[in-house]
Amino acid sequence: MEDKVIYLNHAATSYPKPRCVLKAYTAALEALPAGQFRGEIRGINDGAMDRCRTNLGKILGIADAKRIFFSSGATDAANLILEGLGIQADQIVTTATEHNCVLRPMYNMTSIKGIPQIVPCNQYGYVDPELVEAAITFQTRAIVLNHCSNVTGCIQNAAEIGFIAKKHHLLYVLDVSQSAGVIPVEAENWNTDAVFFTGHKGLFGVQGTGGYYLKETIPCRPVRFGGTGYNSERIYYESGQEEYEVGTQNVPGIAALNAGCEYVIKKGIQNIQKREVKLIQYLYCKLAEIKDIKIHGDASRITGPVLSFHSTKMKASDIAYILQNSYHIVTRAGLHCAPLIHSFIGAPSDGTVRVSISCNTRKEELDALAEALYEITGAFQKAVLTKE
Amino acid sequence: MKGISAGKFMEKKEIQRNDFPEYTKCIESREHCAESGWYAFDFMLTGPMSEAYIGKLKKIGGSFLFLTMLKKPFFKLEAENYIIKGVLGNDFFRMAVQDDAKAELSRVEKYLVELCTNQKK
Repeated sequence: MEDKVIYLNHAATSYPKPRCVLKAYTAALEALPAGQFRGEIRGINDGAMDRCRTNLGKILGIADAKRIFFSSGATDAANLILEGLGIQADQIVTTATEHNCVLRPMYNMTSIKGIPQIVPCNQYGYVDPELVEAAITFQTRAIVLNHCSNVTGCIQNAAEIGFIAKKHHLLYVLDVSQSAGVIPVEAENWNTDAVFFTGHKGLFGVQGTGGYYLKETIPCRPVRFGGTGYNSERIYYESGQEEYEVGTQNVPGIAALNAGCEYVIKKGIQNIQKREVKLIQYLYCKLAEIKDIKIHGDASRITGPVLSFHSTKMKASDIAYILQNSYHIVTRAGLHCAPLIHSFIGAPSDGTVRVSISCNTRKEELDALAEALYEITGAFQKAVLTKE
Repeated sequence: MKGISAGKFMEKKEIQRNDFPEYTKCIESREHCAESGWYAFDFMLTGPMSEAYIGKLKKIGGSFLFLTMLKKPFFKLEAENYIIKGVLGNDFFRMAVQDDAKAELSRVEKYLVELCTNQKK
């Protein structure tokens, strides 16, 4: 283990990618290109996008897979949805656990006015559905929910919140960036109207891939317009004629994402979740023994493959820096682009150290992390500050 | 001095003096979020930092912490508006500054250049 890197930052992007993903990416680049609705080329790239849509549908619980559209990632998708739905920020109920891919569009898009209603979470990052319902007012038009926190790994009750959204005739937008491929998602059963995901995390695709599902009956104005290779004579779109994938699509990336989806389906999401929960609970127990470390999470709850902690004596950034540069263990320090959750979970202002695993993480790697943290916190307890 | 002649001792001292790597450039860190809103930069050196070199960095000023018992010892120099941190044996260290304290970067750059120049004299 001397110089081998232990990668525990899968919530940022999964690594290494499975062989099948690398092979699919390379094969797509080597094969004759085939664009959506463009040209007559038959080969491995032909139909790659639709195969991927079908597999994504299986993973996300979407039978109507043709309503899954590709984008450059979750942030891109969140922007397209939030702007396209034409809802003002003050008509949205959302939570303290959201990522900046949702918060920043709400607070900064010139077409979206006002400030959203933020529902708090508890110390573990859990949002009580009753508080979501209580936050709904006469002007609320949508609920936007992060299914799995990228800080604590806490999974929200997306089904119950979907029920609340339906009861109050609200649009329901679900962010499954952290849960897609690692936690069962039932988008249609949960009454979602829009779901967005990224391709390069639990789905094992490459960066720059992702997308969203949009229920057919939901009016969403396309934000981008351009060539689609389809109905080229049409310049003006009538209502109902909207197209959501414009310009040349990232076919090699989508082919790789499809291979990632097949990898996940073959392994089985339930199996992936079972293994990851076991590993996270193992890590929780190991870290709970270390003095000066406070874990932000609840071991008794089933969580996503993420665990955050902070030291009562050291800065999160120092711990992550030492882990990476002294022990070759890659974690992440800071606010993790989710700035609101930290005050609710009792994290310091500089955030947490986040450990995030994949189904391929080994127990020995978590042992090495715990051992390194023992050494780091022990060394700090004995350290003496000198001043020049 | 057992087992080491005066000549050898001098040679060892010389190696330690020449261990001071040269400063090459300062680049914006890839980890933008890591230092809680401060601007992080990596100072790149031509070779690994020795304990003597780290000792010289202390002169930049601030509270100095050196965790020698780690697998690879870690140091940190912390002042009101900047933090310098690195690991013994690495050929770079990080400096994080507040937005209004970017002048500190130039001060450190100047100090590193002088450190090398003085060593060569």
